[in-house]
Amino acid sequence: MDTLMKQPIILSLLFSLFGPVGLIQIFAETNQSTVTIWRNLLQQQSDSVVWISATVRIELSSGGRSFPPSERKLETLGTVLGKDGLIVLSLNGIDPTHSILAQMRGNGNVNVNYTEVLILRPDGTEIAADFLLKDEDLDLAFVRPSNKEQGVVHSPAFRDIEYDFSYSPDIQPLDEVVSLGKLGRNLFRKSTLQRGWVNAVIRKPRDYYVVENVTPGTPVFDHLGRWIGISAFRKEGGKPSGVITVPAKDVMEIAQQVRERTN
Amino acid sequence: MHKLSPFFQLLLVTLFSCHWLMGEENFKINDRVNSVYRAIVRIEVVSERGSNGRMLKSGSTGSGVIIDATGLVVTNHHVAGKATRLTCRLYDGEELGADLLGADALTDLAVLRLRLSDRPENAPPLQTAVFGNSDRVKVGDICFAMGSPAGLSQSVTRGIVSNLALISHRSSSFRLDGENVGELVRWLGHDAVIFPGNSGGPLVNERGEIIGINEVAIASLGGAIPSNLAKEVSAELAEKGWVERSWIGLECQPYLKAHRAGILVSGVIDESPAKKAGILPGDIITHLDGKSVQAKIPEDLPPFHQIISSLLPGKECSMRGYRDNEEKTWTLITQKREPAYQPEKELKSWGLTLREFTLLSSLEARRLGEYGVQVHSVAQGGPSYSAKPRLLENDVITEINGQKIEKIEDLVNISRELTQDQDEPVPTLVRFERNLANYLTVIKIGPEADETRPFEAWKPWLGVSTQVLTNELAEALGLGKTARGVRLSQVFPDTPAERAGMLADDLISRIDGQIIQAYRPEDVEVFGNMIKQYRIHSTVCFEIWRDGKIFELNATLDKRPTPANELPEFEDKELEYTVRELSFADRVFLRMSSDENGVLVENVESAGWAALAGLRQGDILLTVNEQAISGVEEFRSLMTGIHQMQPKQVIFFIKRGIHTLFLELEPEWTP
Repeated sequence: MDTLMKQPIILSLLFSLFGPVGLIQIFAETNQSTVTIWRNLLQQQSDSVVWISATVRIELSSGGRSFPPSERKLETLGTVLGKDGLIVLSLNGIDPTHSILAQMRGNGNVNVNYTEVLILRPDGTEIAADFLLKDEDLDLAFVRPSNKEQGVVHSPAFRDIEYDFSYSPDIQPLDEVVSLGKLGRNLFRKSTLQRGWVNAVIRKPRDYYVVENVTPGTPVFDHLGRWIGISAFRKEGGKPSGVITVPAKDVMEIAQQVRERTN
Repeated sequence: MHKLSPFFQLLLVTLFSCHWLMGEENFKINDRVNSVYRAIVRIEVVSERGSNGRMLKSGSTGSGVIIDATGLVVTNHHVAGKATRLTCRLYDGEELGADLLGADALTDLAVLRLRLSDRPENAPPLQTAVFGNSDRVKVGDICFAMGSPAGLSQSVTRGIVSNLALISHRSSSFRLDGENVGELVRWLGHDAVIFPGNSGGPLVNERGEIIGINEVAIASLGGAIPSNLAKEVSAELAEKGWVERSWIGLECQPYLKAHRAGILVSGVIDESPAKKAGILPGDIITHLDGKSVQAKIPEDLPPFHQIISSLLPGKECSMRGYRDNEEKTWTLITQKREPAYQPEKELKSWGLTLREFTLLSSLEARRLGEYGVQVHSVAQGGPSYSAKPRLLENDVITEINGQKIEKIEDLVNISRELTQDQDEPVPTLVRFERNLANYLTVIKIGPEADETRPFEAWKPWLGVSTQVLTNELAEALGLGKTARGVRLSQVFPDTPAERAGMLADDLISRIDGQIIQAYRPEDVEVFGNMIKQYRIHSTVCFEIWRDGKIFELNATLDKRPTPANELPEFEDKELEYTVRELSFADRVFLRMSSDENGVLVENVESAGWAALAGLRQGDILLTVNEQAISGVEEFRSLMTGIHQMQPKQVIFFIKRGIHTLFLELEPEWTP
């Protein structure tokens, strides 16, 4: 009984002596493990982020008159969603419609045809791809290696992002997250991690996370290294007006739609 | 057969009446002039010129004159020289097709032949005009300019001959196909009013003879090619389709020193007969083939050029003159004069227009030999433009996949072999010259690569059209100036809105409790954008104002109807337009019920056959050759049959706004 009575006292004494240090140690360990988890992402999932190049033929018409077509080449980042090589990216990166309409002051029709879409591998290899579906409201575009290129999809340097369908992340403001990216050609297309914080969670009319310091088209991961969404532009009147993260569940739902409509 | 228009009946009556009053002699003059008037034709031309990798078609009008009963018509090269289709309207309104027999850029003359076999057997004989002697024309002679100014019907103006040797002082000011038109021609200047459209029409003397073919207008003077030159050139064009001339590669200018007659040599082209004969810049030519020649002013040069060009090609001729005050004699062998440029041709599978070299153009390009094909223009976005490096204007293609290219025909044949039975573009190794350097590139030729046009993600849809509730409108409807939202201007049948009980005239102020921030006309997309943020099949709560009451309605959103860019379409590459199926939005916008049929014209290539016929983007095609069209697949099958039959005319019946009209497409079908 005495012993039992004494135990809380001893525990209190021990806690008062070592408690703060212990908590700091536990916190440090947790923090350390998050960084380690994220660094592992760099090792394990960096090849799920790829550069996409799109060559577009632009046809303009205004007042019933058509103008000679012109060509542009655009590059942006995307994320591989599945073993079939389906890739999601920010539509804004490969769709010049808005910028052209702005130049024409909105008067006219812009028809953008994609003559060549390529997935650019870090070693410089290019894989021909098809632009399959776009969602202008969510600023998402979906491309997939062309049928004749399917053989290269399963090569070790080309992998899809890991997604747990059973995982429902409970994202809260001020949560720390990380996004996986890739530098441009001038920096050898090196993979990057960008740390960010959740500034807001929007629930209606649909779920969005507002995360700072992320690049559109790249995947965002929570502190456990689980993929929670794709960053994209939030548009207002067709113009990009901010960056949001579309939840992974919604992205995968549209990816399913892509497969249904194009397979 | 058309009758003379009332306007011309009046014009002729007026002319005759005036001249009747002026006396018998004048009446006879006008009778002769009138007989030439009946020989003039108004020419409608569809011509082609290369630009942006395509042969662009354009329509224009000009004038001509019938010079013999077999239907020969003389006109200008700049009117008809690049024609792909010619339609001539005679003085009485009768229309006849015509074929281009030949055109000469250096004199700006062309000869056509009317298709008389298309005339009915009992058609009246053609009225013809005759050439007079232009060497006998004097300054001050009365003359009549005849033609179709600005595309009007045949017209006559009167004036006097003002100048017998009108030239353009800037040698480069009037060039046709690279030729300096003033090199051989000294125009007859006159003050009879002419206007664009008069080109190719005759200048007629009081005896009713052609003394010139109107060509230019310089200030207030018209300029006509003298009839003697026109007669000679048109006879050769009618016979051979081209004019044989000599070339010696000599460039001359007037010799200004008054004490000695002669012509100053300003330049000698490399590899030319003059160069081989040892003539140098600065030499003075005094005799050519035994004839004395001189030029004190620029007007004296065209006769000298005419003498050179009239020499027989390959003939030895002599020249005499001076170099540094020493008498010199040169013997040279003339060479056949080739045109400055060959006409350009389109190679669709390459996205290029191309030219072959002539002697002069290869010398201009500082090349040895005429092999290779010169790029004239490149289609932006086409195969040659997309190559790395891309082809540019003036590049010279010399090899494809190791095979030498001499002429365009080689390029066409090799391309055909490479692309036969291919359903994808064929990467082709191309060797080309640029600024005398040698490059390699790969061009993907053949069937156009499939252009990916992505689907649009499925979106939710309520099935209404709305207008913004502006501050003024809100106030007028008694809602207070700060009310926000939209007014339903239309509720489409069998849609979520109708099923939820929404009515036109309802005002919607909130969606799921969120105020619709629309109060300015430019907020027209706010409501639609709010709806699009939801998932399909979401149930959404709308706050409604109706008849002074506020209540809520729940609607479950449907999937939006198929957008226009995902509907079936058909591109007619021969007639150069694209049509597609009518979308739900088209039918709403055009007030077309679901049982009304047709296809929507989505694109019309500029300067294509469809554009020439007047087809416009946004037109609804209702029938083709009187056959109704229910959709794109039916239209495709109908047009495939028409392409095989290649009729002279294809009649489209279209709807444009509230109007309907017939369009006649008259293509020159690809064989």
